[in-house]
Amino acid sequence: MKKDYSRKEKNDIFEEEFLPHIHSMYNFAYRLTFNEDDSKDLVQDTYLKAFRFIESFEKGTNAKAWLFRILKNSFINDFRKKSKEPSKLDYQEVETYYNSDDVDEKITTDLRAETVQDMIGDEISNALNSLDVDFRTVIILCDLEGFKYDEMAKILDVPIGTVRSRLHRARNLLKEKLTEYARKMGYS
Amino acid sequence: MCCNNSNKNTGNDSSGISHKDCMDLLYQFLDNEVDDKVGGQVHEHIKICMPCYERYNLDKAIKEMLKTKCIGKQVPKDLIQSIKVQITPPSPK
Repeated sequence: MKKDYSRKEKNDIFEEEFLPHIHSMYNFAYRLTFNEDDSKDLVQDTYLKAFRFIESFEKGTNAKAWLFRILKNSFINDFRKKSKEPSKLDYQEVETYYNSDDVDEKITTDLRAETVQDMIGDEISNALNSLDVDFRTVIILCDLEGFKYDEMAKILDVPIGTVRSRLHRARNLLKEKLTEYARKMGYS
Repeated sequence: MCCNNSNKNTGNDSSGISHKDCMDLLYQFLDNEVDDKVGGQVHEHIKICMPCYERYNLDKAIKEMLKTKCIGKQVPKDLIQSIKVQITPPSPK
């Protein structure tokens, strides 16, 4: 239901509930676009849309999830079409492949917690960046930003079961990447 | 040890959960997305199953590294100001 906020109320919501999330929003945008100018445009566009549609936001509810949802949709509609990201078809093929039970068995088990803790950070960051955008997104939302599965389902417009399975595959893929890095660095 | 008996994958051990079910639930346990009963079972199983214990520690280490190493990008200084200017209505002349 639409709210009828005064100009002052709108400004207050914007200042107190929206702007405090700008650091998370910018980091999310950067992980999606890998480009500083595009990230700025995406975040700015998201905040302008949030202000324009502020009547559909209920004061005091989950502003961060609402903003992330707008940013994700802006990315899909305005940026992804222009970018070289794999098409939806490619993604579905990947997801189907990684949803087969056999793959779990193939995930390497020689990566150790100590090895990961010894990594300087670039390896983790590069491994995350190398994932397909849909897999990357669920890891960002869950592990970097701490969203719960039901919040992620709303942000991504998918059922909670899809969040669970996508996150499962994303983490297995990330582990594969980290295992490759560990091998190259002679950790294992 | 859970993995030395014949119920290695599908049978429940003293924790009340099978090795396979525990492996399947580890990510949800890590994300605090299981109820108290299942959480207790996974917690107990991890104590007696080395493969599950090691995988849980690995998953936890990766989650912590992601959180600490991947969110350091600084917001450009002019971004907030630029947004604010655009939502401020022009002052009447």
